[in-house]
Amino acid sequence: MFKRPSLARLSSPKQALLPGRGWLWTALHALEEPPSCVAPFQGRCHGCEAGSKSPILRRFNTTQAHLKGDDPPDLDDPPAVTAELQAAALSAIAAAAAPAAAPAAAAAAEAEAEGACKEAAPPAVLHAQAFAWDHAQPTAASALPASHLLDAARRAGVCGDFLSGAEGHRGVEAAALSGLALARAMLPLLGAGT
Amino acid sequence: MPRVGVIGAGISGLLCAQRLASAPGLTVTVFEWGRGPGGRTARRRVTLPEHGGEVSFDHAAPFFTATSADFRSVLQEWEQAGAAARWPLAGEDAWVGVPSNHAICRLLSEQVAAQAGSALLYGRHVRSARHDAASSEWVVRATNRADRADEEHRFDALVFSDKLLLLPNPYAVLPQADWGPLALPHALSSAGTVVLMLALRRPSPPPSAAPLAAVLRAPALPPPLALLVRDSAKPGRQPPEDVELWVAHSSAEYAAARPACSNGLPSRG
Repeated sequence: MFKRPSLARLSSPKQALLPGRGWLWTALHALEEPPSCVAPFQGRCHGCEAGSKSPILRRFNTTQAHLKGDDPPDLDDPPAVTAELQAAALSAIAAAAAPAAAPAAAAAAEAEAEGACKEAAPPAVLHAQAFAWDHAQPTAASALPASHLLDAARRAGVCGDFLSGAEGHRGVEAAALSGLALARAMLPLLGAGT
Repeated sequence: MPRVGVIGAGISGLLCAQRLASAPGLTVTVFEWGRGPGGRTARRRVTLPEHGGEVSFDHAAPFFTATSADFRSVLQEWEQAGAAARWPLAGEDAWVGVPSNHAICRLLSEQVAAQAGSALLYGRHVRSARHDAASSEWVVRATNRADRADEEHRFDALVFSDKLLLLPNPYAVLPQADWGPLALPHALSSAGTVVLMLALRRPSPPPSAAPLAAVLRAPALPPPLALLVRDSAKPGRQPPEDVELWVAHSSAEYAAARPACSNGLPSRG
């Protein structure tokens, strides 16, 4: 089964300022050994070949969000966060692919002991990237029971997923219903009827 | 002819704009910070060098669940326009955009732009909105982020489609003293998540006979994951044959402990 790679050394991310492009994060991420079987790191791999026994160096580049505009922002430590989430995701994917846990685990351990990983046909990581999405969901406590806000006198309104209505809709449904409700409320104010 | 301004091109702003723009006798102008429509249906494109191709992740809302008749009917509209499809693997009432979730905002923005006199203005940082009582007009000041040019627009009605446009923060455009009936509670808060986009190459099908799951949720996931979605299993996606795309969301607690590095501004939601 999946073995979480040990993080032998994680250099501190370095920042460089590129004109017009904002900050570029560059970090070298060293793994003590290739995580055998499940995740032979490939893709942007520097200083190693996938499956080699030497430390694996991967470079993570992300650009900072606000300065570029509409890209999501960086995390405080993208390489470590990416590695942690990737390890958790790979273990969950491996577990989902082999639901019969007990016998599969035993077989995998046996195969690993013999140094044979062929049957598992583990996926290779082609790309992994993590970023923060700071306003993913309104917290349940702060969702408002109205579907929209309307200022009829000034002909203005507010909509958005945080206006989740009496039924407490969420996500895209809350956003869509809020926008619909505000349009319906504004049309009569604009002489357009419903 | 009444002119309506809409600030924000996420789902709520665009659907509101689309309904208003399709009413006879109205023109609608949508302002959006980003280079295209987005919000929850944003996607990210990534080039996989080994495959010489580009893949796309629905990195925000992975799929939509309809619990109301109104939303189901909107989804059926989008389905008829070829921009949405049911995704039974995620549940009876689960839907996605096709070929990516982004298709929905693209459809809505095209429908707005198709109306004479209506337009979408991308790359606009809206700096302020002020109601001029004398002329009963809303005066919107924006900066075009591409050329730094300042613009002034006047409208007969105005839609704010993001709470960050009102709540005190650097992106607010309407000061609290001018809220009037548009008052929002200050305590309005959001939970964040850390999103992982993962592309895997699987040279041969999984050995197990069972089909690979498409949606996994906590507690059936190792921490810190809250949600794991096989993006490439959605209808209409066409990644290279041996490539699997996954999107993982962390728990809110994990994200809260790792605030985005920032210059003091909240990130765009």
